[in-house]
Amino acid sequence: MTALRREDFCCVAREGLGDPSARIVQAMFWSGDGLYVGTGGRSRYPLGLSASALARLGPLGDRLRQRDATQQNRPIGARLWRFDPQRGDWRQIYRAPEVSNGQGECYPRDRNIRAATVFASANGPGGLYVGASAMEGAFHLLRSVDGVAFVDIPHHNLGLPPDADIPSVRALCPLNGRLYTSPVGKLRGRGMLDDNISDYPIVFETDDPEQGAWRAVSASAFGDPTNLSINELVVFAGALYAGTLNIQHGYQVWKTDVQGASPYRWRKVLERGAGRGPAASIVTCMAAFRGALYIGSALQRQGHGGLDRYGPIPGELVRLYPDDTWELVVGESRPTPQGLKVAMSGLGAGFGDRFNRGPWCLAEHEGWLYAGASDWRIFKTFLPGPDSHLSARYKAALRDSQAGYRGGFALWRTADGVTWEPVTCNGFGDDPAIYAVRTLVSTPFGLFAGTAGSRGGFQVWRGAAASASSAGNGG
Amino acid sequence: MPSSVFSIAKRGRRQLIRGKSAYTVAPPLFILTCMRSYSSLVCGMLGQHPQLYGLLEVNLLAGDTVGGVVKLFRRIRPTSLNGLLRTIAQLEYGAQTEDTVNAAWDWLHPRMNWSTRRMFEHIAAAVAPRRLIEKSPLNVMRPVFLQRMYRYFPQAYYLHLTRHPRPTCRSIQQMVEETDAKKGTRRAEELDPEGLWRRAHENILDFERQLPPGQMMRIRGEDLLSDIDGYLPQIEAWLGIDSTPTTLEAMKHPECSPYACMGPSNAPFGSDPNYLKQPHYQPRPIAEARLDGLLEFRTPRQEVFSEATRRIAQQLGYR
Repeated sequence: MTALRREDFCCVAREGLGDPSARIVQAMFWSGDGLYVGTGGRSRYPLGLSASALARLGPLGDRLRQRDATQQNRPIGARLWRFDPQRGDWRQIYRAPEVSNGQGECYPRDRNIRAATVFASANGPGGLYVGASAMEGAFHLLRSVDGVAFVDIPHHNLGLPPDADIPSVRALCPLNGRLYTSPVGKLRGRGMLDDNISDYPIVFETDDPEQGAWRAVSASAFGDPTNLSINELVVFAGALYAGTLNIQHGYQVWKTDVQGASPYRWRKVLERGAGRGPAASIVTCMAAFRGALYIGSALQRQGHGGLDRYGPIPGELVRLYPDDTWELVVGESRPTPQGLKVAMSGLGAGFGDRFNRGPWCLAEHEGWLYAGASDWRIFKTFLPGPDSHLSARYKAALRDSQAGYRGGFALWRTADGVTWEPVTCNGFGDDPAIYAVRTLVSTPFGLFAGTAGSRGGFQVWRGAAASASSAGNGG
Repeated sequence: MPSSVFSIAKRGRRQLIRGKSAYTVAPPLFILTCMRSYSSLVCGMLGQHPQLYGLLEVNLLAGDTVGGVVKLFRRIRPTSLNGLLRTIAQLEYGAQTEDTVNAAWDWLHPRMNWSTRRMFEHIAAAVAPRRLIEKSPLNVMRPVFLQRMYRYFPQAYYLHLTRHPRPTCRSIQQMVEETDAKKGTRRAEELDPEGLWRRAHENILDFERQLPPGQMMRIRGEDLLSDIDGYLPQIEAWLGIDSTPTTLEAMKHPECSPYACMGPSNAPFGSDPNYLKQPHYQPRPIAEARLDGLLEFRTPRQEVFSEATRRIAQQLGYR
């Protein structure tokens, strides 16, 4: 059990591997002897709006389009990279194909890679499965048996109507020879903040992804229309767990033992943001560690008038046991219907940092659990307006902190789930545009961290104890 | 007057004589809340725990010195001194009568130069080893009051008690209208209950940010009063005090407090008059209010809750 320290990390990819508009590593996984990194970029239209949303803006929409064309902000589309840590080289193994709208305009078919897994079904050859978000229409599911060549496989709109708006999936989760997913995002009628909501907050299952034989195995939104999407799926103690986005009441977590006929019997094991309410609106990550399921949560950005204007509201971490009891690890101590919950780490929300939006990814590596976080200060929504009643001292503190922000993110580690130590609180002090760790993957060649940045392209960091760090670092 | 309170007062004085600061022995509990948010009942209930002592609204945090506080309230709202006078009457003279309230005035006069901190310490020592509970809604209306509280009691426990803004505002409006009717004043016309609610909770949330984890606990009054068997033991656990069926049963009887009644004619109040008239806890369902919809109380600016109020309410778990 070797704990990784700040000096054990080195950057193996920077500046989006040559494309600064690829700002975030949405998906990362290890297979064979390579690290796979899924990225992408902006949507087809400015500000992430849909064509219809732009049309509704009238002249403003036209100006946005013109400005976009002038700046040649062409979307780069989804890309999948493979890193060989022994040789230290990167290879692009998938690039979204170009498609035409029939009016002379070409654009990448896929916007980004948001979901990936290694899966072997009872009938098929198995391989690597990747969910690619679509610029238009439904997402695409790709499979590779050799880890290099990726081909489309059908998903038949997950059994939904042909016109279903399902542009993306965020989770591909294997369990007992079956694969599970849930769509997220909306393209039609799309606003700026629609990436995490869905018309179909349903868990789907297949035991034959090659044939695209998907079926719904949960009620829509688990029967609660305030659940806007199912963002996280994870297996823990033989059960499937699903985490929701619920802006109105706070996130929920549901579980099923996937036994019997579908739709399976699901049981709600956490609600109202684990008692915190709408300030914990979304499950950001889940990971099993030492007999408990660790669940990160945060406040989803909500745009003008949203709760995030009243922040910064830092995120939390709870841990859930197979018997459905739970403990607060990092966060606001509080009474709850399940009893008094005191932050057992001694750390308040945001690991004690009010600008820490909360954990965005979790991964176990060599006996330690790592939590990669995101920083609020990249989004200035919380800065108080002139009508705020906040004390002058606190307002000044917020503005000073914003002014002094030089980028970076926090990465924390724990060996027991209770005692947390920072690995870095400033993103290794490397790039002021990087504000989060989005993905963490444990590999035989170390712990890899994929970042999110506001500009300049993503980074990938590799953390390896000194004895293992002699392998190629590339980048 | 129960003799035990006399003995408590004597013991407290002995502690002060020995130079032992009471608040360092047992950090007090402050209930931070907007007015008309169940704080009288909750303070009364918690105050019946054998290790706690629920005060009336003493409003001492409005100033640095006792004289300053007395001068302030004599000028703007003399009834705000009722809680302090009744408390002194009770602790120093063992009863709350017109005579003991007059005696309390006499007791206060030579102590006008005391700091309000010293007065708090004196009261805390008088009730030691029971721990003080203070709930004056005024405490949260200005950040300077909250900072004074923290300066005096950095080890205190802070319970953020919330209530949905709609019934809170309605209750504030009703209270002021009733007062207007009695006194012939027209304060209700200038009232901004929504602004009061928002300012109180913004100040509390602002204050919370400086506290280490666990020093402040937030609870919705609606949840607490709907399930006191579930939540009161959690508050006991948080405060680190005994939690037994006996303590729980005691807390179900706020009417047993010497302050759970109207005071004498020269200091009748000190808390919510409705509570003072009917201090019993009666389990009852609390109707769920909504943020949406027209406001049924007077507001100087709009007919629905402002965006800022709605968002704070949502943050506190209201819809």
